[in-house]
Amino acid sequence: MAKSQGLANRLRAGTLSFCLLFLLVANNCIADYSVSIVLSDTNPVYEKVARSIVSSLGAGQEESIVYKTTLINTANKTDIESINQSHFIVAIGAQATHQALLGFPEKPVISSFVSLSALEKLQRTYPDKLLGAVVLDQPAPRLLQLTRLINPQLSSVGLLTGLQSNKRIPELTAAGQQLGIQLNTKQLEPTQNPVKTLEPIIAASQAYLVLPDKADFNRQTAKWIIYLSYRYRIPVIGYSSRYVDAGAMLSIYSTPEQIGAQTDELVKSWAAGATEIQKFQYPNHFVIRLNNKVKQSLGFSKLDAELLAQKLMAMEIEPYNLKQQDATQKSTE
Amino acid sequence: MTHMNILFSKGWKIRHKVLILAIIPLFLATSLLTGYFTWIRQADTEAFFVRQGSHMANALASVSELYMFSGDRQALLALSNATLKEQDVIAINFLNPDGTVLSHTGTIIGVTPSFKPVNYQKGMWIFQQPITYSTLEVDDFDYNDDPDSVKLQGTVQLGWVQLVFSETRLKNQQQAILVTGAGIAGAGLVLALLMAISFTRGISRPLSKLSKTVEQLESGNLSARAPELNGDEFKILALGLNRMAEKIEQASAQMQQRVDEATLQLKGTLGDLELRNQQLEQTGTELMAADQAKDEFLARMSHELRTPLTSILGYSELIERLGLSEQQLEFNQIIRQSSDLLLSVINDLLDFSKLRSNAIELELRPFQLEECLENIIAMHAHSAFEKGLELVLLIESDVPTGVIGDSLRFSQIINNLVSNAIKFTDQGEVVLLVSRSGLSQSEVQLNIRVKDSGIGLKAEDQEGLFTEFSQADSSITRRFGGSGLGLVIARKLAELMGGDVYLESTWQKGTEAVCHIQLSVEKQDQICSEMPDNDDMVIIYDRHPWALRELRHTVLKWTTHIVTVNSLSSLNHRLSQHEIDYSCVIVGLSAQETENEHLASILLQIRGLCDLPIMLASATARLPLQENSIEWNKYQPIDFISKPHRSRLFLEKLSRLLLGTHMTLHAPTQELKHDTAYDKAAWNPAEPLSAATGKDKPLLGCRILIAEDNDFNRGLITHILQEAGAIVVETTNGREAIEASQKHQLDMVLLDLNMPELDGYSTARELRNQQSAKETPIIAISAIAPNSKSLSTQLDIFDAVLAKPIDQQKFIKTLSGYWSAPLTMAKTTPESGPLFQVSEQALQAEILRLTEKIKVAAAHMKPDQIRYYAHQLKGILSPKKYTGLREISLKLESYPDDMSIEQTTELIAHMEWFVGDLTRDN
Repeated sequence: MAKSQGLANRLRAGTLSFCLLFLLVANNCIADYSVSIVLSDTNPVYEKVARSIVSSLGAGQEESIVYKTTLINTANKTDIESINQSHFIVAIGAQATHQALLGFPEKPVISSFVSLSALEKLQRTYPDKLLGAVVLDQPAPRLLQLTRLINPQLSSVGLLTGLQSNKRIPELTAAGQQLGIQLNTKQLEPTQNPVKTLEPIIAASQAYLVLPDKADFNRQTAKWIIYLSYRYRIPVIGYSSRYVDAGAMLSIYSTPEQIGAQTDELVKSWAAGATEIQKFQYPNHFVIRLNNKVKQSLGFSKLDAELLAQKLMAMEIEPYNLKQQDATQKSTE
Repeated sequence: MTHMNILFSKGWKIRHKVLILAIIPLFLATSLLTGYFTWIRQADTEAFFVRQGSHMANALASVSELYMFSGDRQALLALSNATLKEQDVIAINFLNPDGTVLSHTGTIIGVTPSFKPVNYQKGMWIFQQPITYSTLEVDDFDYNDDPDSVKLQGTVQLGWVQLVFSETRLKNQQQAILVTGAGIAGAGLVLALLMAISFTRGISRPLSKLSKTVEQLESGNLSARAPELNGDEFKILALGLNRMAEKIEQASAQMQQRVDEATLQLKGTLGDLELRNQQLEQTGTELMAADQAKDEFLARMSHELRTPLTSILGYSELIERLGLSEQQLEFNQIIRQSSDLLLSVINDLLDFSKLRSNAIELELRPFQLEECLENIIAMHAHSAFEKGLELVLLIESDVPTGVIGDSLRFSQIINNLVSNAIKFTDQGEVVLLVSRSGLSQSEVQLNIRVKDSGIGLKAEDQEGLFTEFSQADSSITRRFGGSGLGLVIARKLAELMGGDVYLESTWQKGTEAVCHIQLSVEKQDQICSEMPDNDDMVIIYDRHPWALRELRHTVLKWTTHIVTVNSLSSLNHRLSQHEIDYSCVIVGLSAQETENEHLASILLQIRGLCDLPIMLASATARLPLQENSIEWNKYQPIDFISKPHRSRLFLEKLSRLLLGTHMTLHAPTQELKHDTAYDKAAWNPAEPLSAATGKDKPLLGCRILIAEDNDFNRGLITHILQEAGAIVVETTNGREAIEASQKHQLDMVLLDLNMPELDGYSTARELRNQQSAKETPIIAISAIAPNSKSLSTQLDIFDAVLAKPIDQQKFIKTLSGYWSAPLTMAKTTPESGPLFQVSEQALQAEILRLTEKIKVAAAHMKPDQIRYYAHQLKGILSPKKYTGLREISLKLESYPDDMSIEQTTELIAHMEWFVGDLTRDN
């Protein structure tokens, strides 16, 4: 197992080296603006994000931006000097953001691929340090609109929150009020039996919405959420591809590539001299994935992921972010 | 394998064997297969049962996860009730992780939780599965990117589900399988048995038919044929058997023909054989008869040769007394020597034949060695004297006196050696040296060396002497005679006694015959220890060194103060010097010195020097000086003993001489009178008899009737009575006695008790009834002990009973007690009177006659005659002198009718030996 992990690490390092080589080549061509992309580790997801940021520099771009990617935890003197010489830093993930803010306090940092709760924590620690961020969480109106698209007669949505996700209850409540959807919500205390807490919520709801929380919370509650939703025959809207695999009828989420592309756009706007400071951006692009078996067993066999995504995009009249993204990547299973 | 062999070796028929061989594998295969598949099915059923239970428990564990997680007892109960409807399920228990019951449904409670997934308890199968809670991974990635987040364990134990199954259905199923299996097995076995029987019949029936045919053929029915059989092999076998039977029939017919022919030939041969057998039987009978005749011939010849020889010897001795001329005496001497030689040859031949047939068995009896050796020496004293030889016996002081062995055979060996030594020695000496080499305290090896100064032997001739019928050369036979068996017999006898005989000889220098014999020691008693040691100084003269040594050796038992001289001059010198106070002079005279003048000269010389007691030891049997003659008396104190001397007698005489008791030559003590042959030779028996003539006759004029069937006894008694002055009427039995009593006036009657026709008792009774003999003293003479109780009442009729053999003094004394002589007749006491002595030759002749009678009676197996003659024999034998022969006669006297031939032969052989000993003594 360790041997295979070592092999995987070597492959990742090889891939990263290739990327860096690619960036250097690019650097030779455009040397107007330098940006350091820092990663906390060789997590493939982060690499995907980084690759997405770099690859978004397509032809026809006027700005000359030079990206240099560095593993901040293992950075050497040259790397540090290179980061110091860059105009600003793009940090992928909460840990990399924390390291960049800590290690390079003079440099402006853009955080990408972080959860909203993690970003808020970083902003509290390093106020006014962050130039901007692209978060993972989907905006509350999008989530509730989706529930309404699934079931137009839907009037109540159940929600069990943990310590982190509970912070989004006001946003969700506000969105629900706008859409006329009642939120049946309750925060699960560590000593409580999740089944006993969940069952009345699900029993009283027409759909159940899952918000990401701490990993332990997610794992503990997922089984019972899916089981009880089956039992009470209500759809579960998850936040990850795996949730669909585990039995949720559908999930809505943004891929690393989508986040990377949106981060690149943010970098470019900064490079272009934007001055408006926005604390964070929700993902402009998302993916809806359906579990066909579940949807059939729950009687939602006519649902189509692509259609749902289009409808949802169409319903977002006022974008949540300053810049609208035209292109929407869709995917159905 | 062994059991199979045993099974098939019990004589079972092949049908049974084939049946067993067929059925055993079928039975085993059926049993094994059925058993195996039954077992498999049962195991499968059980495995299915277990799998079903396990699956149910697994499913229930999965299903109940939520209820266990939420602690929903109602839901669990509902789940349990649903599960309880399943087959075999009799109870469902949901247990907390600590084993406490959370929910129970069904009939069985209180089942102990176990970590085993499957457990069997008291007829119940318990399936137990853990109920675990597992989390679900739903994150695509770590949304919070939080390195500090703690991951939950994969599974959490929520409790246990326990399914209790009843085994009833399982058991029923298994039982049904078993019954089915048994049924199949039974059916299979029956089928197998039927098949085996069918198979067996298919084999055994043809075999049985073939066997019957073979049996018929065996029993002689050669026309028997095997029937046609099915099956190739049996068909071939039957055909083969039939062909073989035809051949056998043909061969048998041919054989029968040959047998008939051969039988005819055989009958002829048998006839011849029978004829030859008859001839062989006849030959065998003739051979047996010849063998018997040979034995009888030997016995008869022994008797017939000995009897006339005894007569010849006796009469030649008597002839010598008739005043013959020198030539006649010489001829007579030749006759005696020839007779002696012939007797010796006969005895040797008899002994040799006994040794050859191992018929000699040694007796083990105590005997006095010294006395025995002295007897042997004494026997040869005369012949040695006649040849002028010194015959010397020297016994080492450590040689035991009392030994145990066969004295007769021992004597025979030594006798032979001494006899040979004397025979082959013309001058000088023959010395018998006896020493010992101890084996142990109880056994001794005697080393007897007989040295002679004779002609000696050449080395090449020495060993030949031990070959039968062989002598050194033929000239010896011509010169010395003999059978040539003496040394052979001696050696064989010595070997029987665990010893050997061999010769050490140098030609012209003499021979030394060495004999080693092993004997048991009876006790250690030394002659010298019986003699008082004293200070007497004795001077011994003998010119012969060996003789001087012998005398000294004997005198040493009396005193240790001894001076020896080997010349007369030395003797005279010693005596004339008076330096030593001698007590006695012992003069040893060789044969050459025994002439009257020479003897008188020696005695005069001694008397001229001293008046010491003189003990003469002379090689002659009789001194030239007349006893009690004036010449003899002038040398007093003097006494005489013959050489070679008996040490005991010598010492007795010496002691008497020294003590002043004068011993006369013609008046020996009673003890001496009963001594050996040599003494008899010394004391001429004729002299006392003649001396008694004309002296006191205590029975003078007494008319005595004697009835005695034994001629010898009768003659002896008659002679004694006549010498005592009696007038004797002789009869041979009781009848004659009665008749004689009627014819003669009798003063006394002597009756033998055992007589033919009319015994002593009956005769006495009849005599008592006669008026003429009513008061006549009747005296019985019997060989039976007079104090025998059985006879005491019958003997009352007699006035006295006298025992045989006759004690003359007692006899005369007893008879004179019943005789009152006329006043004119002087009556003297019988003690002072002379004694009648029967000639030894006459006595031996009578012994020979009676023993021959006994042998003939034994040869014809006539016990009456054996007892009769044995009784007669016993009557004339002195217990002291003829001990061995008397013992034999005692045994023969009580000879039982049913005694075996072997025992009889043994007794007769013993008797013959003793008789032979008598003749050899002569």
